[in-house]
Amino acid sequence: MRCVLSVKNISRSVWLGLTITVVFDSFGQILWKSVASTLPDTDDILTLVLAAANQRLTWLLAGLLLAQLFLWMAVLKRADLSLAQPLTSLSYVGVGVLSWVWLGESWHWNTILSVALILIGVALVSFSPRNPVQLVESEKE
Amino acid sequence: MNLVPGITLVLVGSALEGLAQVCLKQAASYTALKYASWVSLGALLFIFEIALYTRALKSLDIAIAYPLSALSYASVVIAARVLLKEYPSPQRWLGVAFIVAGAALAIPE
Repeated sequence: MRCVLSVKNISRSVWLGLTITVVFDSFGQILWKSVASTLPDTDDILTLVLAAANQRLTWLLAGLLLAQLFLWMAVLKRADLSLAQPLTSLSYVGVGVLSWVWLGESWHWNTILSVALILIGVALVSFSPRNPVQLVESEKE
Repeated sequence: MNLVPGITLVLVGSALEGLAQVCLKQAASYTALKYASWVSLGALLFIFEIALYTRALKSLDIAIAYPLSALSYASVVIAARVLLKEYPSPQRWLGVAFIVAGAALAIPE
């Protein structure tokens, strides 16, 4: 019951911000992999940066990450970090599907089980009530 | 292909994200100068994480690297407890254990 209440306490604007964050995150990861795959095999940072800067996908990715950062700051002003951050993990499903459809990467049972465990873990983290110890500390302040 | 270097880079990057998120949470509590300082420090840590993750993606499939990066959730909860004095409940710690197990399963045999 307390878990349900804690979810209901999240405002619509926070839900919207989190949803857009998940969509941006999923597409961003696919773009990121696409950019990284085309970079030269070198440890020279300057060469890598210049090679990345010459790609349009890099700038698209940078714009997406920047927008995500501002959106994330807006979400953090309205929600606990230890609650909001785990909710964005729904992008693991999005990235999984997109990596298979878009990049043609193979999926194994281990991968599916891995994502399932991560989602359960995230649900446990996200929807747990605040620790009574923390509630007492908050009342003191 | 040797996946260990890529996996190591993702693990270090995940630890950095825990610290970066703490910086952003700190920034959200302040205005003006302190806000800018915490955001800058958080952004710097994110840049390091981006560099490490990009290098890791050269050798790892995104279907492996991304689930592995879930360890950042564990590092965030730990950093929130240690640095922000938040008190995650036992259920949250159990969730962290599930996430760590899931991330471990993402590593191919």
